[in-house]
Amino acid sequence: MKLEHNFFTLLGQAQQFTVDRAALKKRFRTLQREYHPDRYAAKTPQEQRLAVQFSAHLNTAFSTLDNPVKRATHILELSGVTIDHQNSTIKDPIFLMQQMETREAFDDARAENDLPALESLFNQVDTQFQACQQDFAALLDASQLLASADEKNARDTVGKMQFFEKLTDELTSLIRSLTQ
Amino acid sequence: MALLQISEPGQSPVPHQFKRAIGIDLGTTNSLVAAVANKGGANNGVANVIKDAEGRAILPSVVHYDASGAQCVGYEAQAIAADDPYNTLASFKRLMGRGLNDVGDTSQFQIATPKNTLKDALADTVDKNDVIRIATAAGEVTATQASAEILKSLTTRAADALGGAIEGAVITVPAYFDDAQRQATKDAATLAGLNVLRLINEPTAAAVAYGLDKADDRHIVVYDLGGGTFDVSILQLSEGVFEVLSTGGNSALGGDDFDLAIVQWALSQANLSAEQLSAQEYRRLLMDARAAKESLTDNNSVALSIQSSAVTWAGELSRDAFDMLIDALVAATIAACKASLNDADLTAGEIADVVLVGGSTRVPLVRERVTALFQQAPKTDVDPDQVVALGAAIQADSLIGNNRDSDLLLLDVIPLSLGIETMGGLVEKIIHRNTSIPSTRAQEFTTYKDGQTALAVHVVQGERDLVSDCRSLARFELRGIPPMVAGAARIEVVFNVDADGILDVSAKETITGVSTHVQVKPSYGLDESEIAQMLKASYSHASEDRDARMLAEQRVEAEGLVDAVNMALAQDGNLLNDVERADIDASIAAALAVVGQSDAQAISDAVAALGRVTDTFATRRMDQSVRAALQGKSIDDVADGSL
Repeated sequence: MKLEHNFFTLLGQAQQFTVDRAALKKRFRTLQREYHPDRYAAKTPQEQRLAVQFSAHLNTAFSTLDNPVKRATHILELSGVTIDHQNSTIKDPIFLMQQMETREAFDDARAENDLPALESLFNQVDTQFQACQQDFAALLDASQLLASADEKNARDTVGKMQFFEKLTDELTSLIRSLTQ
Repeated sequence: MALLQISEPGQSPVPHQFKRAIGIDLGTTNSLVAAVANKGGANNGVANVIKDAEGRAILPSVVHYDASGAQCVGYEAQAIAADDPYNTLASFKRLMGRGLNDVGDTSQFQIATPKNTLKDALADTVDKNDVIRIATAAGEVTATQASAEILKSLTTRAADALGGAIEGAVITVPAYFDDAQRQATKDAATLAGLNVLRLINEPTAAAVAYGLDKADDRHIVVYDLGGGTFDVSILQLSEGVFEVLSTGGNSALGGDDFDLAIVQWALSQANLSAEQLSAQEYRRLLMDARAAKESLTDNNSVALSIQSSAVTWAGELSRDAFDMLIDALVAATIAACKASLNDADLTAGEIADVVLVGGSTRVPLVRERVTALFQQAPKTDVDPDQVVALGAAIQADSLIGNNRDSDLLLLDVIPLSLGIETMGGLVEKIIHRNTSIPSTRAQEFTTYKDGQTALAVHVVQGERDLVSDCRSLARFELRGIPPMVAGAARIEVVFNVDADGILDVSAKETITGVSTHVQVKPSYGLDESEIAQMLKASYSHASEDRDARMLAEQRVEAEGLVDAVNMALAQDGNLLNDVERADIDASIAAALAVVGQSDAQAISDAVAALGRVTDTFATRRMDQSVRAALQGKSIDDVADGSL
């Protein structure tokens, strides 16, 4: 079976960073309604196997486009730019300095179980995360083609997004455990 | 070439037949079977629980084995339990897919009565890395085999009620069941000769039974407190699609623990220890405790007594005292609800409906706490004991194709993360919990030493970082890797989780493309040869004719496949050239020629041949359908040829 590897094409969305999440979800549901293995339970074993494959592929596509970091990574991959999340480093000294300070503030607030400090830190990091996403959208959505000069910039922006995502996740779970 | 019959596009060449499909709730304490009635062929039937000859809906999940090798199940087995506790199994669902390491203190694990704990009952041959086997008069028995007896009994009951062989079943499992527990459930169905259409999660089944798919977009919580397990699921409903956002719970917490809390209370009030009671006396107390719990649903206090050869005690248990006894247990379920809300990124106020499942949700304190958390009275109009089986029956009816107009679709998630062991006993997660299923993920690994030709892969399930804190699912070895320097080989391990939530792992070396051999040995499961052996053994004990049953099963499978292929040909016959079409027609004819005869092997071969010859056709159909869907055309347009 031929699997469409451009997830934007697969889920009928324009190939850009800004997505309409409601439209994305609607399209995903329409396709799952057609191809989920449950729709093939009375069909031949061959067709059932294909449905499992395609339905799993749809799940991967949806979870990729629904998450900003994965979506950005996918866009870059479609432009031939691969990102090794585990081994990529950001060399922007100002960013690195800021993040070290944020980390320290996070560790202090965690040690003190300081909920107001954690919440204010969350708002600060989330704002930076959103700004970073807007940067990426500005870089990519204007033109489908990525100029080589922008490639490094785009790569760094995704790296920063990943950093913010990890931090907001940690903050969210910590805040939740303290408020329960 | 003979003239071929072609039917109207989109229509089956064979008249649509009602198929007998059932939903089974395979519970820790009680099991039930339900089916959707074929009302005048209109397929708008209603799901009903199928009762036994005595008019009882519930089949207690209890199996008794006697020395002759015969078994009895349900109420009959329950009646024998007190007199013959050592050959009676109950609560065995807690042992499904589990090893001794999972159970903990075997002296505390009751098989039927406290006098028959796992410690005493364990077969001598079991070591800690093995599937648990229990010694009975009829030989060693696994939880899977005991479950198969329950499934067989329910299937027979359903076949009698529906007037013929059962063609497919949906079996429910707790959402929290891991891979090994799901696999064990499927194995039990195989032993019972049951065609499993799908394993679905109990909470999802309950939401289906409430007909919530007809409602507008909303979030639903299903709170399921059964005899032995607690589950909570948060679902999002939109346009008939149930999407599970998160699940949580505890597979070793249930109403049985409420009963035990009462037993402990009574013993301490009477200054007794469990050891001072005989098996029969303890069992009596346990049953009285359960009755007391049920009585406290409508009364403020209940009398309780212990009659033993040692002492006679009588006392009164008030609702308030009972609430205190179970307070911590109920609080644990509420904490799990909050955790699931967090996982789903929702607050309690965003929940539109709360559905209660399981007899233990009748306990007033449970309803009180659930109402307080979600700020609304939970739904209770469908019997909480039956709601899961009814939902399973509705889904079975839809899956087998009786209800083609149904928009109902269940999109479920995997409850626990799947990963593999890496250097230092750490877990590398490959599929994270709450990922939608079916799911496929590939991960690359490399060799650690120069010239390494094999790789041991250990698959685990759980959320913790250390392998020792997770459940071991399977180990396999990848052999035949060409010798290279360390780090040069690229081994791709692919995890596939199907719609039943069951994992399949494969691996290959990608640089050389050298084919590698993978053998998965389930850590706490039965391998295929064991299942085959058990099947054989069950035939020699039972009165049923093995060959007749195999033949019947092969016939059902062959007829189903021919129907499905005919349907596909009617829709998309144009995708085949004359030669391909003739091949398929010949295979259909060959299958039909043997299906009426009594050679099971010949039917099986014909089914396999028809499968092979339609493989390419299936792929082309799928490709065409997907291509059309991506262009925004519906499948019907394709069938009409308007593409």
